Amino acid sequence: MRLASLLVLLMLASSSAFADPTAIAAAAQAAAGGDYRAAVRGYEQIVDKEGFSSPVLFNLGNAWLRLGNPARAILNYERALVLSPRSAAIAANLAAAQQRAGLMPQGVGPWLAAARYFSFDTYLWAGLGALWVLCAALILMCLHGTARRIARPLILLAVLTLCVSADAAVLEWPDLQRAVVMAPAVMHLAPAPSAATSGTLQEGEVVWLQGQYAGFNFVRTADGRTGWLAAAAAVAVRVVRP
Amino acid sequence: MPHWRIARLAVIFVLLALAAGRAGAASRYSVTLDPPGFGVDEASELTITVTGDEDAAPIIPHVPGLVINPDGQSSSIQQVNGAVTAIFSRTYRVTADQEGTYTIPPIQIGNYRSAAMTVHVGAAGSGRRARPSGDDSDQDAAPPANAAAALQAAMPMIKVLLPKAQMYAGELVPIQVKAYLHEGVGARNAGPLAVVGDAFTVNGLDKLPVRSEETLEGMRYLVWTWSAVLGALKSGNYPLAFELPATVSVRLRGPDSDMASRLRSLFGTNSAGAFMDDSAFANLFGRVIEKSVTAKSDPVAVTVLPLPLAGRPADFSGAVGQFQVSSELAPASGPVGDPLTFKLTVTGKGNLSRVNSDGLHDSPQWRAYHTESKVTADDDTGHQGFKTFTQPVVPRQAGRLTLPSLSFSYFDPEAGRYVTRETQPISVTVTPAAGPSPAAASLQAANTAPGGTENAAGDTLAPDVAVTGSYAATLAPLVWQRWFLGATLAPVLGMLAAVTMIRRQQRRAGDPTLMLHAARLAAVKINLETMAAALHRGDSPAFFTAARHALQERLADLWQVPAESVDQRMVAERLPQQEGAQLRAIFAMAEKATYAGENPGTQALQEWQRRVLEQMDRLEAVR
Repeated sequence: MRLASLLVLLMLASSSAFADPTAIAAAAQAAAGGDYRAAVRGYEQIVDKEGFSSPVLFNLGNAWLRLGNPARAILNYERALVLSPRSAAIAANLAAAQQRAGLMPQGVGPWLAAARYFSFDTYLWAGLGALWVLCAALILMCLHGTARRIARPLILLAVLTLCVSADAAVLEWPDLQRAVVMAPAVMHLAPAPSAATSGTLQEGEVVWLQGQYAGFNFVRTADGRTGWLAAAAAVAVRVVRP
Repeated sequence: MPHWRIARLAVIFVLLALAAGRAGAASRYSVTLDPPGFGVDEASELTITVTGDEDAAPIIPHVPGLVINPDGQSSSIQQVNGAVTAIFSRTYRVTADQEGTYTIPPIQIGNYRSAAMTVHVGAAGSGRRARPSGDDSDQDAAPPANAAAALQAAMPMIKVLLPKAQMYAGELVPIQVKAYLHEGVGARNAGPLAVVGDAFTVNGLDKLPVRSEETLEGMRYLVWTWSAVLGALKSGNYPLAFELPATVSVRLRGPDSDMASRLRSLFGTNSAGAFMDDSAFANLFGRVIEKSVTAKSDPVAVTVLPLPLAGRPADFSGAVGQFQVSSELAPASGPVGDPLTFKLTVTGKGNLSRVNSDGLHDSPQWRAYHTESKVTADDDTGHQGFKTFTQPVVPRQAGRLTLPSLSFSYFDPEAGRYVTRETQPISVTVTPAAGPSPAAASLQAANTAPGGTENAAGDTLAPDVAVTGSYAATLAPLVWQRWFLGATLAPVLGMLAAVTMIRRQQRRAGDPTLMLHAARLAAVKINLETMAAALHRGDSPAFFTAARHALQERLADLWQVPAESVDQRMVAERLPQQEGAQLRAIFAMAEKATYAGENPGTQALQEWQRRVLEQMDRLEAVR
């Protein structure tokens, strides 16, 4: 119990912080006044200093889109969706940014759409909690009497939660490798600038990073094309700090 | 047994007899260097020949500055006036990195030592020859004079089969290139067949050729055939030629091969003669030389015409050939806002890579997206097949809509004019949208909340939101963070440890041996307490009875026997004399006190108690 409390405290301390309200207000004021460059600067400084926040990323995406940079907007909307996967406003503005970039909205299967109701990390938390409960219940099963009677439904509940969490996490696993193409780019057949091209990528297009070698990322596109892309051409959605 | 097999056995027998007959004959040795002088970019051939005796491997000395590498070896049999001799020949390639005069020391071959030889190495390209200073043998190992002629005759012959001598720039013409190899000449590709010059491109030369046999002017040839497609890069008159790097090997008919001829005439041209053509056997009677050559075809004059400017359509993208176009939409209908896939297919023969289409364009009825294209070739050369252009389109209005026709223009080289093909317009029934998506609904709500279709920024984006809540230091998923692995492993390891402990305790609780051990320990404890109480009372029989029981329980636990069976005799049996003396004394005293009523007095009882406790401690230590 003491260990679990300590763990929660540690996680809260490592993952959360609160930002300077003055900086937020300044960025919001700049955006409201139509100075989107200042808004972008302000919001990016907040992200650099404080970390990732869904509202900040959303507002940053809006500012980029109004500045005419749909790729940057898509990247920030994608990051905002990581933190708030069910936000309709983020999804709507992401679709608008994709349309602005001339990209077709990506079709998503029903299972993946259902899995995306929660974030990947939410499933991991649920799975971790279920694992702790399952382990505790298995210990109780070694005892007699009431302890054993309590353990049975706990095991059932934990196993069900584990299964659902694992399935959803597996479905969402490829999303961990998402990256956004920052400018029109070409894919190569080999990780070298002189290698023959295997396809072109549009600004704002989402690709999946499959591997890297010598300054190139091996990427897969939504329609299954693959190739080597210069590492700087696409920015990963899930990063430690921008 | 077929008669040719008998003949083959007879030949082997004869050869064995010949080989046996030559045993013991005197051997002759020959060491030659040809040429004796050469340039640093050239090589000389060192030949060591042993005639008339068992083969002996020569010992090649190391000469600083010279590189002497084995280049091959051969053996043959010679019959002169009924005398049969064997000839073993080894060749070495001699090269040098620097100019100068080198001396090859005597070469040891069995019991024979050759004379030393002087080698003159000149500048690159000098190729000067010098006489060897110490050649002490006959000079019959020089290369045959007919080698150049034989190689020339073995050179592959390249022919180009071009269906027409006039073509248009950009046109693809299927051609065949054939390499004819003389029967009996060994040859292998040393590189791909290539077109000479930069006026043409040829697809399909990198494929393996088809092998066949043909007879030309009464001569049989092995034929390699490449089927390819020729394209012209620029207009004008150009010679078309191909070259093929290859390695050919031919067998020279030198003095050694006379033996083969004699044996062939001896056995005639029937099946026994066929045996003489057996490759393994034939290797004995000829010298095989191998050379890298580049065979070239005779140039074929080709006239490349430019594509006419007159009548060139605006949408012409460089496609030359014969093509058909078609289009389809899938699904054939749908609601407003749902994407449909428009597919344009161009099928035919020609340069499919130059077939291009911009696809459909945005209109009030349709939103058109980026077009993706893909070529699917029906043959290896890519000359024939189809190219598809796939384009997502989204209807913007409900009702009966029409996707407009698309045109595609190409140049037909057979007709010598441009052709424009058009797809049929596609009629689509578009139903009203079933309802806005949650995202669209939210967007609409956000935009219309202030009372208009546009937000404060003048666009249709969902407006900025108030920044609340906490910040995450990372977007990296939990699985990429080390503590998460620890948090996952911790309950599993803890559970395993707890379950192991619980199981162990449960096992111990149910083990009869452990239970007996615990009972005996308890009995020992009770008896020692009883003994102390008896001492306090001065009750000698009770003291010794308790002492004996305590020791019985302790020893029974140690020896795993019933406590009742432990007595003075068992102690004497199981413990050495010295070690068991005290215990036997205690047991003896206990019997006296119990059965004979002996009472040693309080002072003595205290001494006995000390002895008992001392023995208890000793037994505990033993356990």
